Amino acid sequence: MNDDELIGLFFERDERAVKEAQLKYGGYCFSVAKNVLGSREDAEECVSSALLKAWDTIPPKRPEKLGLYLLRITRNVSFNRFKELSRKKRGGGETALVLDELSEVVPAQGDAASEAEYNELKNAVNAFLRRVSQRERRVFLDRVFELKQIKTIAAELGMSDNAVMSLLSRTRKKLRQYLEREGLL
Amino acid sequence: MNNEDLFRAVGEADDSVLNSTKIHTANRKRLIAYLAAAALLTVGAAVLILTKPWENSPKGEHSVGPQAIPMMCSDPGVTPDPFVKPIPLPEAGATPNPEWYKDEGRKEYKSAYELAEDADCIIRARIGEKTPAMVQTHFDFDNNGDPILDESCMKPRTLYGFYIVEIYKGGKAAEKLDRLLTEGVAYLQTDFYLCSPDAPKLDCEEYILFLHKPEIGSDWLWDNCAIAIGGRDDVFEVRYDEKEKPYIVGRFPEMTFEWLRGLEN
Repeated sequence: MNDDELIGLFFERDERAVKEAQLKYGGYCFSVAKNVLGSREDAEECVSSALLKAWDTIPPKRPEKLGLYLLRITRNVSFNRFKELSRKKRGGGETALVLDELSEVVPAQGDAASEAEYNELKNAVNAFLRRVSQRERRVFLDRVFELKQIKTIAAELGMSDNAVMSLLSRTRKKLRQYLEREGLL
Repeated sequence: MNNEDLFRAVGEADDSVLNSTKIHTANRKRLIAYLAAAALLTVGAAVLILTKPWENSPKGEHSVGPQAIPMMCSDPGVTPDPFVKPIPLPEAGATPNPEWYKDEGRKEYKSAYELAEDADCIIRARIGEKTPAMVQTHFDFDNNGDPILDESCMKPRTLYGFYIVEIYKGGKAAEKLDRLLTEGVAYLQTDFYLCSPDAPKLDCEEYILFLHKPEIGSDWLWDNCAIAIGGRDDVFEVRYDEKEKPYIVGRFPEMTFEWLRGLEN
Protein backbone atom coordinates (compact mmCIF):
# COMPACT_ATOMS: atom_id res chain seq x y z
CA MET A 1 0.00 0.00 0.00
CA ASN A 2 1.46 3.33 -0.95
CA ASP A 3 1.43 6.44 1.20
CA ASP A 4 -1.44 8.10 -0.65
CA GLU A 5 -3.65 5.07 -0.11
CA LEU A 6 -2.60 4.90 3.51
CA ILE A 7 -3.35 8.55 4.12
CA GLY A 8 -6.63 7.98 2.32
CA LEU A 9 -7.52 5.38 4.96
CA PHE A 10 -6.74 7.89 7.71
CA PHE A 11 -8.99 10.43 6.03
CA GLU A 12 -11.79 7.90 5.67
CA ARG A 13 -11.36 7.12 9.38
CA ASP A 14 -10.76 3.51 8.46
CA GLU A 15 -9.03 1.79 11.37
CA ARG A 16 -6.96 -0.29 9.00
CA ALA A 17 -4.93 2.87 8.58
CA VAL A 18 -3.19 2.36 11.92
CA LYS A 19 -2.54 -1.30 11.25
CA GLU A 20 -1.17 -0.66 7.78
CA ALA A 21 0.97 2.22 9.02
CA GLN A 22 2.29 -0.05 11.73
CA LEU A 23 3.13 -2.70 9.15
CA LYS A 24 4.83 -0.30 6.83
CA TYR A 25 6.65 2.03 9.20
CA GLY A 26 6.37 0.41 12.60
CA GLY A 27 9.79 -1.25 12.39
CA TYR A 28 11.59 1.94 11.48
CA CYS A 29 9.78 3.91 14.19
CA PHE A 30 10.51 1.18 16.70
CA SER A 31 14.22 1.25 15.97
CA VAL A 32 14.36 5.00 16.62
CA ALA A 33 12.26 4.71 19.77
CA LYS A 34 14.52 1.93 20.96
CA ASN A 35 17.57 4.09 20.29
CA VAL A 36 16.03 6.88 22.32
CA LEU A 37 14.90 4.75 25.21
CA GLY A 38 17.03 1.65 25.21
CA SER A 39 14.10 -0.46 26.26
CA ARG A 40 12.07 -2.65 23.97
CA GLU A 41 8.87 -2.36 26.02
CA ASP A 42 9.06 1.41 26.30
CA ALA A 43 9.82 1.68 22.61
CA GLU A 44 6.80 -0.44 21.65
CA GLU A 45 4.59 1.72 23.84
CA CYS A 46 5.89 4.86 22.23
CA VAL A 47 5.32 3.55 18.72
CA SER A 48 1.73 2.71 19.65
CA SER A 49 1.27 6.18 21.12
CA ALA A 50 2.76 7.73 18.01
CA LEU A 51 0.37 5.84 15.76
CA LEU A 52 -2.55 6.98 17.87
CA LYS A 53 -1.31 10.55 17.64
CA ALA A 54 -1.14 10.17 13.89
CA TRP A 55 -4.72 8.90 13.95
CA ASP A 56 -5.72 11.99 15.90
CA THR A 57 -3.93 14.44 13.66
CA ILE A 58 -4.62 13.01 10.19
CA PRO A 59 -6.93 14.59 9.11
CA PRO A 60 -6.71 17.57 9.04
CA LYS A 61 -2.98 17.13 8.63
CA ARG A 62 -1.92 15.59 5.33
CA PRO A 63 1.79 14.77 5.63
CA GLU A 64 3.85 14.76 2.48
CA LYS A 65 6.01 11.93 3.75
CA LEU A 66 4.02 9.72 6.01
CA GLY A 67 7.06 7.73 7.16
CA LEU A 68 8.94 10.81 8.29
CA TYR A 69 5.82 12.21 9.89
CA LEU A 70 5.36 9.08 11.97
CA LEU A 71 9.05 9.01 12.76
CA ARG A 72 8.99 12.58 14.06
CA ILE A 73 6.01 11.84 16.28
CA THR A 74 7.68 8.68 17.55
CA ARG A 75 10.87 10.56 18.31
CA ASN A 76 9.00 13.27 20.20
CA VAL A 77 6.91 10.82 22.16
CA SER A 78 9.99 8.77 22.96
CA PHE A 79 11.95 11.82 24.01
CA ASN A 80 9.16 12.89 26.36
CA ARG A 81 9.15 9.41 27.76
CA PHE A 82 12.90 9.56 28.16
CA LYS A 83 12.61 12.74 30.18
CA GLU A 84 9.95 11.20 32.36
CA LEU A 85 12.15 8.17 32.97
CA SER A 86 15.20 10.35 33.61
CA ARG A 87 13.38 12.09 36.42
CA LYS A 88 12.85 8.65 37.91
CA LYS A 89 16.51 7.84 37.33
CA ARG A 90 15.63 5.20 34.82
CA GLY A 91 16.07 4.94 31.12
CA GLY A 92 18.89 4.04 28.84
CA GLY A 93 19.43 4.38 25.13
CA GLU A 94 21.55 6.91 23.38
CA THR A 95 19.58 10.02 24.28
CA ALA A 96 21.65 11.11 27.26
CA LEU A 97 24.84 10.74 25.21
CA VAL A 98 23.43 12.61 22.24
CA LEU A 99 22.20 15.42 24.49
CA ASP A 100 25.60 15.59 26.04
CA GLU A 101 27.18 15.83 22.60
CA LEU A 102 24.74 18.55 21.61
CA SER A 103 25.69 20.54 24.67
CA GLU A 104 28.93 21.27 22.80
CA VAL A 105 26.77 23.27 20.43
CA VAL A 106 24.16 24.70 22.79
CA PRO A 107 24.87 24.42 26.52
CA ALA A 108 22.55 22.32 28.61
CA GLN A 109 22.15 24.91 31.34
CA GLY A 110 20.25 27.52 29.34
CA ASP A 111 16.56 28.23 29.77
CA ALA A 112 14.21 26.59 27.32
CA ALA A 113 13.80 28.64 24.15
CA SER A 114 10.76 30.83 23.68
CA GLU A 115 8.51 29.92 20.77
CA ALA A 116 10.07 32.59 18.58
CA GLU A 117 13.60 31.52 19.48
CA TYR A 118 12.73 27.91 18.89
CA ASN A 119 11.33 28.67 15.44
CA GLU A 120 14.48 30.56 14.56
CA LEU A 121 16.58 27.68 15.79
CA LYS A 122 14.56 25.23 13.72
CA ASN A 123 15.03 27.31 10.59
CA ALA A 124 18.73 27.70 11.25
CA VAL A 125 19.18 23.97 11.79
CA ASN A 126 17.40 23.28 8.52
CA ALA A 127 19.51 25.81 6.68
CA PHE A 128 22.68 24.41 8.21
CA LEU A 129 21.81 20.86 7.27
CA ARG A 130 21.28 21.94 3.68
CA ARG A 131 24.71 23.55 3.60
CA VAL A 132 26.81 20.68 4.82
CA SER A 133 27.91 17.82 2.66
CA GLN A 134 25.67 14.83 2.26
CA ARG A 135 28.05 12.70 4.28
CA GLU A 136 28.08 15.13 7.18
CA ARG A 137 24.33 15.44 7.04
CA ARG A 138 23.80 11.73 6.92
CA VAL A 139 26.07 10.97 9.85
CA PHE A 140 24.74 13.87 11.90
CA LEU A 141 21.12 12.88 11.34
CA ASP A 142 21.85 9.23 11.95
CA ARG A 143 23.21 10.23 15.31
CA VAL A 144 20.95 13.07 16.39
CA PHE A 145 17.72 12.31 14.59
CA GLU A 146 17.74 8.54 14.71
CA LEU A 147 20.02 8.29 17.74
CA LYS A 148 21.98 5.46 16.27
CA GLN A 149 25.00 4.23 18.12
CA ILE A 150 28.38 5.31 16.80
CA LYS A 151 29.34 1.75 16.04
CA THR A 152 26.10 1.21 14.11
CA ILE A 153 26.72 4.26 11.96
CA ALA A 154 30.31 3.21 11.42
CA ALA A 155 29.28 -0.29 10.38
CA GLU A 156 26.57 0.97 8.04
CA LEU A 157 28.86 3.41 6.33
CA GLY A 158 32.00 1.29 6.38
CA MET A 159 33.85 3.84 8.48
CA SER A 160 35.85 3.43 11.65
CA ASP A 161 34.26 4.50 14.94
CA ASN A 162 36.92 7.18 15.25
CA ALA A 163 36.17 8.55 11.82
CA VAL A 164 32.47 8.81 12.70
CA MET A 165 33.19 10.53 16.00
CA SER A 166 35.61 12.90 14.39
CA LEU A 167 33.15 13.76 11.63
CA LEU A 168 30.40 14.35 14.18
CA SER A 169 32.64 16.56 16.24
CA ARG A 170 33.52 18.67 13.20
CA THR A 171 29.88 18.96 12.22
CA ARG A 172 28.92 20.07 15.71
CA LYS A 173 31.64 22.70 15.64
CA LYS A 174 30.38 23.92 12.30
CA LEU A 175 26.84 24.02 13.62
CA ARG A 176 27.91 26.04 16.62
CA GLN A 177 29.77 28.50 14.41
CA TYR A 178 26.79 28.73 12.12
CA LEU A 179 24.39 29.44 14.98
CA GLU A 180 26.80 32.06 16.30
CA ARG A 181 26.96 33.72 12.92
CA GLU A 182 23.19 33.71 12.77
CA GLY A 183 23.09 35.46 16.12
CA LEU A 184 21.34 32.59 17.88
CA LEU A 185 24.10 31.95 20.40
CA MET B 1 17.91 28.01 24.64
CA ASN B 2 19.48 24.68 25.59
CA ASN B 3 20.60 21.41 24.11
CA GLU B 4 17.13 19.91 24.37
CA ASP B 5 15.81 22.68 22.14
CA LEU B 6 18.44 21.76 19.61
CA PHE B 7 17.57 18.09 19.93
CA ARG B 8 13.93 18.87 19.21
CA ALA B 9 14.79 21.25 16.39
CA VAL B 10 16.77 18.53 14.63
CA GLY B 11 13.75 16.29 15.07
CA GLU B 12 11.71 18.77 13.07
CA ALA B 13 14.11 19.06 10.18
CA ASP B 14 12.36 19.37 6.84
CA ASP B 15 11.34 16.28 4.94
CA SER B 16 13.69 17.20 2.14
CA VAL B 17 16.65 17.37 4.50
CA LEU B 18 15.82 14.07 6.14
CA ASN B 19 14.98 12.36 2.91
CA SER B 20 18.20 13.39 1.25
CA THR B 21 20.18 10.99 3.38
CA LYS B 22 18.20 7.92 2.53
CA ILE B 23 19.59 6.44 -0.62
CA HIS B 24 19.94 2.79 -0.11
CA THR B 25 18.36 0.53 -2.62
CA ALA B 26 20.39 -1.17 -5.29
CA ASN B 27 18.12 0.04 -8.07
CA ARG B 28 18.40 3.55 -6.89
CA LYS B 29 22.13 3.19 -6.61
CA ARG B 30 22.30 2.09 -10.18
CA LEU B 31 20.10 4.96 -11.27
CA ILE B 32 22.16 7.43 -9.29
CA ALA B 33 25.36 6.11 -10.77
CA TYR B 34 24.03 6.56 -14.26
CA LEU B 35 22.63 9.98 -13.42
CA ALA B 36 25.94 11.00 -11.93
CA ALA B 37 27.82 9.87 -14.99
CA ALA B 38 25.36 11.76 -17.16
CA ALA B 39 25.73 14.86 -14.98
CA LEU B 40 29.49 14.68 -15.25
CA LEU B 41 29.30 14.44 -19.00
CA THR B 42 26.87 17.34 -19.19
CA VAL B 43 28.89 19.63 -16.98
CA GLY B 44 32.11 18.61 -18.67
CA ALA B 45 30.59 19.54 -22.00
CA ALA B 46 29.52 22.87 -20.50
CA VAL B 47 33.10 23.48 -19.37
CA LEU B 48 34.31 22.77 -22.87
CA ILE B 49 31.80 25.11 -24.41
CA LEU B 50 32.55 27.86 -21.94
CA THR B 51 36.31 27.63 -22.11
CA LYS B 52 36.58 26.89 -25.87
CA PRO B 53 39.91 25.15 -25.46
CA TRP B 54 40.23 24.55 -29.19
CA GLU B 55 40.63 28.27 -29.73
CA ASN B 56 43.91 28.21 -27.78
CA SER B 57 45.33 25.09 -29.38
CA PRO B 58 48.56 25.46 -31.23
CA LYS B 59 48.01 24.70 -34.88
CA GLY B 60 48.26 21.05 -35.71
CA GLU B 61 48.15 19.89 -32.08
CA HIS B 62 45.29 18.21 -30.40
CA SER B 63 44.90 19.57 -26.95
CA VAL B 64 41.43 18.20 -26.53
CA GLY B 65 40.32 14.66 -26.68
CA PRO B 66 41.76 11.29 -25.97
CA GLN B 67 45.18 12.22 -27.28
CA ALA B 68 45.53 14.73 -24.48
CA ILE B 69 44.73 12.23 -21.78
CA PRO B 70 47.49 9.85 -20.82
CA MET B 71 46.36 6.38 -19.93
CA MET B 72 47.67 5.39 -16.53
CA CYS B 73 46.92 2.47 -14.32
CA SER B 74 47.37 2.07 -10.61
CA ASP B 75 50.62 0.32 -11.16
CA PRO B 76 53.22 0.90 -8.45
CA GLY B 77 55.83 1.39 -11.11
CA VAL B 78 53.91 4.13 -12.81
CA THR B 79 55.95 6.19 -15.22
CA PRO B 80 56.03 9.91 -14.44
CA ASP B 81 53.63 11.72 -16.64
CA PRO B 82 55.22 14.35 -18.86
CA PHE B 83 52.28 16.62 -18.14
CA VAL B 84 53.02 16.60 -14.44
CA LYS B 85 55.16 19.47 -13.28
CA PRO B 86 55.93 19.13 -9.57
CA ILE B 87 55.67 22.37 -7.69
CA PRO B 88 58.60 23.61 -5.60
CA LEU B 89 58.58 22.47 -1.99
CA PRO B 90 57.98 25.13 0.63
CA GLU B 91 61.01 26.74 2.15
CA ALA B 92 62.71 24.87 4.94
CA GLY B 93 61.08 25.53 8.26
CA ALA B 94 57.88 26.75 6.73
CA THR B 95 54.99 26.33 9.08
CA PRO B 96 51.32 26.24 8.28
CA ASN B 97 49.58 29.56 8.51
CA PRO B 98 46.62 29.12 10.86
CA GLU B 99 44.69 31.71 8.89
CA TRP B 100 44.53 29.32 5.99
CA TYR B 101 42.56 26.68 7.70
CA LYS B 102 40.90 28.35 10.62
CA ASP B 103 37.32 28.65 9.52
CA GLU B 104 34.59 26.13 8.85
CA GLY B 105 35.37 24.33 12.05
CA ARG B 106 38.73 23.09 10.84
CA LYS B 107 40.87 24.86 13.37
CA GLU B 108 43.08 21.94 14.11
CA TYR B 109 46.20 21.08 12.24
CA LYS B 110 45.88 17.93 10.27
CA SER B 111 48.67 16.28 8.44
CA ALA B 112 48.05 14.53 5.19
CA TYR B 113 48.85 11.28 6.96
CA GLU B 114 46.00 11.91 9.34
CA LEU B 115 43.76 12.80 6.46
CA ALA B 116 44.78 9.66 4.69
CA GLU B 117 44.13 7.54 7.72
CA ASP B 118 40.60 8.83 7.85
CA ALA B 119 40.12 8.52 4.15
CA ASP B 120 38.61 5.51 2.58
CA CYS B 121 40.40 5.92 -0.64
CA ILE B 122 42.88 8.11 -2.33
CA ILE B 123 42.49 9.33 -5.80
CA ARG B 124 45.57 10.51 -7.48
CA ALA B 125 44.60 13.12 -9.95
CA ARG B 126 46.21 15.69 -12.10
CA ILE B 127 44.81 19.11 -12.65
CA GLY B 128 44.20 19.65 -16.28
CA GLU B 129 45.99 22.13 -18.39
CA LYS B 130 44.25 25.28 -19.41
CA THR B 131 42.44 23.21 -21.93
CA PRO B 132 40.16 20.79 -20.16
CA ALA B 133 40.15 17.60 -22.08
CA MET B 134 37.13 15.81 -23.30
CA VAL B 135 35.23 14.00 -20.63
CA GLN B 136 35.63 10.30 -20.90
CA THR B 137 33.54 8.55 -18.36
CA HIS B 138 33.96 4.88 -18.02
CA PHE B 139 32.39 2.73 -15.39
CA ASP B 140 31.82 -0.93 -15.13
CA PHE B 141 29.11 -2.13 -12.84
CA ASP B 142 29.09 -5.12 -10.60
CA ASN B 143 26.13 -7.41 -10.05
CA ASN B 144 24.62 -5.06 -7.51
CA GLY B 145 24.71 -2.18 -9.88
CA ASP B 146 27.55 -0.47 -8.07
CA PRO B 147 30.24 1.06 -10.18
CA ILE B 148 33.51 -0.78 -10.02
CA LEU B 149 36.16 1.70 -9.10
CA ASP B 150 38.87 -0.29 -7.48
CA GLU B 151 42.51 -0.66 -8.28
CA SER B 152 41.85 -1.88 -11.74
CA CYS B 153 42.90 0.37 -14.49
CA MET B 154 40.20 2.73 -15.58
CA LYS B 155 40.04 5.14 -18.38
CA PRO B 156 41.15 8.56 -17.34
CA ARG B 157 38.65 11.29 -17.67
CA THR B 158 38.44 14.87 -16.76
CA LEU B 159 36.13 16.59 -14.40
CA TYR B 160 36.46 20.30 -14.23
CA GLY B 161 40.04 19.91 -15.22
CA PHE B 162 40.88 16.91 -13.10
CA TYR B 163 42.34 13.97 -14.84
CA ILE B 164 41.73 10.97 -12.73
CA VAL B 165 44.69 8.78 -13.27
CA GLU B 166 44.70 6.39 -10.37
CA ILE B 167 42.24 5.24 -7.80
CA TYR B 168 43.19 3.55 -4.61
CA LYS B 169 40.57 1.91 -2.56
CA GLY B 170 40.58 0.28 0.81
CA GLY B 171 41.41 0.92 4.38
CA LYS B 172 45.15 1.13 3.80
CA ALA B 173 45.08 4.54 2.27
CA ALA B 174 47.96 5.76 4.41
CA GLU B 175 50.21 3.00 3.14
CA LYS B 176 49.46 3.95 -0.41
CA LEU B 177 50.20 7.51 0.46
CA ASP B 178 53.71 6.65 1.58
CA ARG B 179 54.69 5.76 -1.93
CA LEU B 180 52.94 8.71 -3.46
CA LEU B 181 54.60 11.14 -1.11
CA THR B 182 57.98 10.19 -2.44
CA GLU B 183 57.11 11.59 -5.81
CA GLY B 184 57.49 15.19 -4.72
CA VAL B 185 54.19 16.51 -5.90
CA ALA B 186 51.62 18.78 -4.33
CA TYR B 187 48.53 17.44 -2.79
CA LEU B 188 44.98 18.48 -2.62
CA GLN B 189 42.51 17.16 -0.13
CA THR B 190 38.85 17.27 -0.63
CA ASP B 191 35.82 15.30 0.20
CA PHE B 192 34.50 15.83 -3.26
CA TYR B 193 35.76 16.91 -6.58
CA LEU B 194 35.85 20.63 -6.58
CA CYS B 195 38.11 22.50 -8.84
CA SER B 196 37.95 25.52 -10.95
CA PRO B 197 39.53 24.81 -14.30
CA ASP B 198 40.79 28.34 -14.43
CA ALA B 199 42.22 28.45 -10.94
CA PRO B 200 45.80 29.42 -11.74
CA LYS B 201 47.25 27.82 -8.64
CA LEU B 202 46.00 24.46 -9.68
CA ASP B 203 47.08 24.54 -13.25
CA CYS B 204 48.94 21.58 -14.56
CA GLU B 205 50.02 20.12 -11.27
CA GLU B 206 49.43 16.87 -9.60
CA TYR B 207 47.33 16.37 -6.56
CA ILE B 208 46.07 13.74 -4.29
CA LEU B 209 42.47 13.70 -3.31
CA PHE B 210 41.54 11.98 -0.12
CA LEU B 211 38.03 10.85 -0.43
CA HIS B 212 36.50 10.52 2.98
CA LYS B 213 33.80 8.36 1.69
CA PRO B 214 32.34 5.35 3.33
CA GLU B 215 32.57 3.46 0.12
CA ILE B 216 33.58 3.90 -3.41
CA GLY B 217 30.28 3.29 -4.97
CA SER B 218 27.14 5.05 -5.81
CA ASP B 219 27.30 7.27 -2.73
CA TRP B 220 30.57 8.56 -4.03
CA LEU B 221 29.01 9.24 -7.35
CA TRP B 222 26.00 10.71 -5.71
CA ASP B 223 28.15 13.19 -3.91
CA ASN B 224 29.80 14.13 -7.13
CA CYS B 225 26.42 14.42 -8.69
CA ALA B 226 25.59 16.86 -5.93
CA ILE B 227 27.23 19.51 -8.04
CA ALA B 228 23.86 19.66 -9.68
CA ILE B 229 22.06 20.37 -6.46
CA GLY B 230 24.43 22.63 -4.60
CA GLY B 231 26.27 22.51 -1.34
CA ARG B 232 29.88 23.20 -0.55
CA ASP B 233 32.92 21.65 0.90
CA ASP B 234 36.48 22.41 1.70
CA VAL B 235 39.35 22.16 -0.70
CA PHE B 236 42.84 22.15 0.69
CA GLU B 237 46.29 22.15 -0.67
CA VAL B 238 48.75 20.12 1.33
CA ARG B 239 52.51 20.52 1.24
CA TYR B 240 55.49 19.28 3.21
CA ASP B 241 56.87 20.60 6.42
CA GLU B 242 60.55 20.63 7.31
CA LYS B 243 60.34 16.99 8.34
CA GLU B 244 58.84 16.19 4.99
CA LYS B 245 55.50 15.60 6.54
CA PRO B 246 52.70 17.05 4.53
CA TYR B 247 50.49 19.76 5.96
CA ILE B 248 47.66 21.93 4.81
CA VAL B 249 48.83 25.22 3.47
CA GLY B 250 45.92 26.61 1.61
CA ARG B 251 42.25 26.59 1.23
CA PHE B 252 40.41 27.43 -1.91
CA PRO B 253 37.14 28.94 -0.85
CA GLU B 254 36.37 30.03 -4.37
CA MET B 255 35.93 26.45 -5.44
CA THR B 256 32.49 25.73 -4.27
CA PHE B 257 29.54 23.91 -5.57
CA GLU B 258 27.94 27.29 -6.07
CA TRP B 259 30.71 28.12 -8.45
CA LEU B 260 30.10 24.95 -10.35
CA ARG B 261 26.41 25.60 -10.42
CA GLY B 262 27.21 28.92 -12.01
CA LEU B 263 28.83 27.01 -14.82
CA GLU B 264 25.76 24.95 -15.34
CA ASN B 265 23.51 27.94 -15.37
